[in-house]
Amino acid sequence: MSDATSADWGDGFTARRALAKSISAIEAGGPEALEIEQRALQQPAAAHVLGITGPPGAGKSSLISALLPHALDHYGAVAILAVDPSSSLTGGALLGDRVRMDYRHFDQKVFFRSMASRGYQGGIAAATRASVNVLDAAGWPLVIIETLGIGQVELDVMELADRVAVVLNPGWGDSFQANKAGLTEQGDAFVLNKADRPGLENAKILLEQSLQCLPAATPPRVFTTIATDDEGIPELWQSLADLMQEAPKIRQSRRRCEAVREGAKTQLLRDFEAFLASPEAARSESAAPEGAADLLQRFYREQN
Amino acid sequence: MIGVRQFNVKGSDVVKPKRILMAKTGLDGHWRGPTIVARALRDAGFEVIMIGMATTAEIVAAAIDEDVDLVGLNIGGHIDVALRAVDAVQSAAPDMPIFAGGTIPPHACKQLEAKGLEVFPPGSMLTDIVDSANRLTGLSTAQ
Repeated sequence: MSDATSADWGDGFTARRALAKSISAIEAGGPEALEIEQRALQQPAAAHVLGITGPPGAGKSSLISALLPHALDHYGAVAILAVDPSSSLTGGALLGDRVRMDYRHFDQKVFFRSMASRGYQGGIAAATRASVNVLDAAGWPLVIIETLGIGQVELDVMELADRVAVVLNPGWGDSFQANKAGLTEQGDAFVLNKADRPGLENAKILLEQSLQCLPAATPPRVFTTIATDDEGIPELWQSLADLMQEAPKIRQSRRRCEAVREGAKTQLLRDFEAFLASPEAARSESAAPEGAADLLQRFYREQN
Repeated sequence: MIGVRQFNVKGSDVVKPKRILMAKTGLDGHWRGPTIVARALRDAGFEVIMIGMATTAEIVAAAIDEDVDLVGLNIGGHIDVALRAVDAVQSAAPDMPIFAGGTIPPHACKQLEAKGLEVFPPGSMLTDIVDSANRLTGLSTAQ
C-alpha cells in the first residue's frame, strides 16, 4: 500500500495532503487534471468501487457510516467520495455527508472527501471518475462513491462503480414508481432503509416484483435496514462484499477506458485549436458551411 | 440574500469555488449558529463542509482530506479545547487560515486573535463573516 494510506498521522500529513491536493486539482479541471489521471492509469487497477445511491434523505450517508467498520475489517482501508449538489444560482454548496459519520471509525485508514457536483448532472461530479482512478493508484483498496440525492435518472455512478446499492425507504412509491425505467433497472442490491417506518412490507413486495421482471437470472436482492441502529447491516455488508468479489471486470475497465478516451479527446481538441490559430487554417476563410469541411480536411492532412 | 457577489463566474471564466470546513469544538450541543453561518457562506458561493462536533484530531484530519481553503471553528465550551484545535491545525497545515465564532468571552477572543484568527463573537454580522471568508481565501483584498 502506498504512503497515502500507510502514513502515520503523526508525520504523514505530507503524503495525505498531496493526495487531497491532487483531487482538488482534478476538480479544478484543465490540463493538470488530465495529466494527474493519465499518470494514475499507469498503475494497474486494483481497487473495488462501491456506489451508494438513492433519493435525498434516504439514509445513504448513515448507511455508509454503519457499513464502514465492516468495510474496514474486510479491506483494511476505505476511501469515500461523497457528492452533494452545488447551487446553480451561486455555485455554493453545503456538503453535509460527514455529519452522519461515526468518527469513532475514522483514523488514517479512512479517507473522506466531500465533493460538490459543480453543475454536473449525472448524480456525481465531473471530477468523480478521475478521483476514483487516483485513489485506486494511491493504493486505496475500496472506494465508496456516495451520489448526491438522485431522482429517477441521474445514474452515472452505474458506469463508474463495480457494484451499486440503491437506497430507498418505506412509502417510497407505488407499483408504477417501482416499474418505471431508471432507478430500479440497474442496481446490484436494493436497500429499504428506515425500515421502522410504516409501509415496509408493501414497499418490499412492490420492489421485488419489479426486480423479478429484469432479464437477470437472479434478480437483485432487497435488504431492510435501520442504519442508525445497525439493524440489517451485517447481512447487507456480507452480500455487498460477495457481490464485489464477483463483480464483472468490464466495469473496472470501463472507468479506465473512459479516462483514456477523454484524454485522447482533450488532446485532439487542443491540437485542433492550435491548428485553428495556425497560418494553415487562416488560408481557409469561407463563411459557408463547406468552409468547416475544408478546415477539417486541412487539419487531418496536417495530423498525418 | 447575503453577500451575493459575482460568485464563480467572472466574464466567461469559471473560478474554482473556495472550500471552507465548519467544525464545532467542545460539547456545547446546538447547531443554530454554525448552520446559519454555513448557509450564508453557501449563498456567497463557497463550498461549506460541515463536520459537526469533532475532536481536535478529527478536525485536523478533515481539514487535510478535504483540502479546504479556510477552517471555521464554532467554539462552545472551554476555550482551551479550541486553542488546542487551533494549534493542531496550524501545525499540520501552517498555510491554512482559521476563523472562529460563537459565544466567546472577550478574554478568549483575545487569546484566539493572538494566534492570528479573525473572531466573530455574539452580535457579529453575517456580512462581516462572509467578507472575512472572502479575504481569508484570497477572493478579495478589501480590508
